[in-house]
Amino acid sequence: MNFHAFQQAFLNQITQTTSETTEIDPLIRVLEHDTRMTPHERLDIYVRDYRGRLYEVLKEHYPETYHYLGDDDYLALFTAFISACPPSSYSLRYWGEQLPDFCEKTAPFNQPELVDLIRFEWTIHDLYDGEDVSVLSSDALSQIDPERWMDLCFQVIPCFKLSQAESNVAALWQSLNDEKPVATQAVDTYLVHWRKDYMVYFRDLTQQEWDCLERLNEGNSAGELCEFLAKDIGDEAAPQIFIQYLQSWINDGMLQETPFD
Amino acid sequence: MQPYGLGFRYPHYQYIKEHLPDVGWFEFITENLMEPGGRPREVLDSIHRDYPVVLHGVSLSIGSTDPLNQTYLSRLKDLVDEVEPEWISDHLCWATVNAHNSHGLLPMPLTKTVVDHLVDRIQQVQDYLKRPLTFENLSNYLEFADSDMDEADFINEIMQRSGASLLLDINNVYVSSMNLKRDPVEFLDKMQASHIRQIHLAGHEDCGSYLFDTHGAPVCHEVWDLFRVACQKLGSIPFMIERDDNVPEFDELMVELNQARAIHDEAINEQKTQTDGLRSVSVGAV
Repeated sequence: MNFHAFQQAFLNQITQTTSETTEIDPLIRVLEHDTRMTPHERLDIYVRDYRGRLYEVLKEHYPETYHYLGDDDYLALFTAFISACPPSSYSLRYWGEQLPDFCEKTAPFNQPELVDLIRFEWTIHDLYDGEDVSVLSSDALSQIDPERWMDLCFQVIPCFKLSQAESNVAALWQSLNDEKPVATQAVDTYLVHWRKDYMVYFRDLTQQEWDCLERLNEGNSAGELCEFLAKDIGDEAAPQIFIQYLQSWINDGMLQETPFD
Repeated sequence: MQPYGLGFRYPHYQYIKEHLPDVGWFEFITENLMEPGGRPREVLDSIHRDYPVVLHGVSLSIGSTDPLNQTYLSRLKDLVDEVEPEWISDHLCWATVNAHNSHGLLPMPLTKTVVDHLVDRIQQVQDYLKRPLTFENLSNYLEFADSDMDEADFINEIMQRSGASLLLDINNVYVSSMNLKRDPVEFLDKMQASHIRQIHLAGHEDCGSYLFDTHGAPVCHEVWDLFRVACQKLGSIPFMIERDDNVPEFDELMVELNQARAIHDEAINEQKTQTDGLRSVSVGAV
């Protein structure tokens, strides 16, 4: 057996799920036998190590999903996922990235509130170690000539994400995190997640604020955002609402320092 | 740089910054630092302002027959160039085949063919990073019938030919020796001090029919004894306590580190006394 074939056989053996029966004869031929443990028992140390490590990693990435499901259902989810999506990245930091899509497509895990919770948790995990940038301050904005304001384009920070859900996922996550009773509710939800300093924050938004942030993120200028708002609330109220939104985004640290010249 | 170090763990960060404990250097896990920002990089920078740091990786998969992962190498190079650690290490193992990454530290047959494979890949990575690498010996749970050399010869030949150095994990030496019925002192006897860059000291779990390397327990007395033998034989090599699971309070790790320092200092002093004695005898004879 050449070295590559050996590695394939070894990895197949240690990544098998319990329900599979893998042919290991080619591998056994290269394992030294002794009287204390059989080759199967020795290989099994690596099997348990592989599964145990990934079980803990997924739990670290999805702590509240684990609390929501409990041991047995979480184990069922883990077992299905590890079989369908074994790790391929160099870093375990990325293992579990496909879990939201996997759940969405796979019964019995395709319950909207579970998919929402999983997607929500991955976003928190993913924003944790993204790029650091300087954030826009109110002072920096006040230096800009007011006549230029309507032409300004703002940039969100790299650790920023808008998402939608079909359930009250933010409240669910918070209850789980606080170890309080949970109640799921089917409701269209608009969310923003971002990292400020070294903490990932989130909050529910109105659809209007969410749409406005999405357009800002797509490169719309302040004037274009006011025009968008005016369709909902009229020309007179739009600039005032936009300024309120802008102030809260700046206070929350969602916008990055930008050379406006 | 003092020879005594500790594996950095995030729960100890506040304590370290407030007390600046007497630790020669800290070892960080490379893969925790490969993303561009956030808390992990801030913590590294902050510790590095007060202490030398070394980087210890788990994902190079140097023994794999897959092509080297260029994304990983590129990020590693960026990190290393930015941090400028005292040295960088990974494991003498493989983890990946056909792009499936087990994230394990998997063993290899100890053959000339595998030595050639490893030397070639180590040299490629060293050329790319423009610095030598250090590789840790594994805890082994099985061995292969077609191995044609013992582990010490296997390691020595790789280090000799590649220019890399060894991170000698004393706990792994002990675990492998017990699991494979080998003599750990015989292994240490064959090690060459000039090949060794660093020593790890850690704990393991006794699973009845085998020992399992957990890094989740205090260093056991057999490993302390082996460390003493290593110091006597190999001289002063930077050493550290490594704890990955069941991470205790910082004070508890310092107790272990101080125990390691005492063993190290005593062994080095004994060695020095013997050398001085031999020199006196030699001068007297002249």
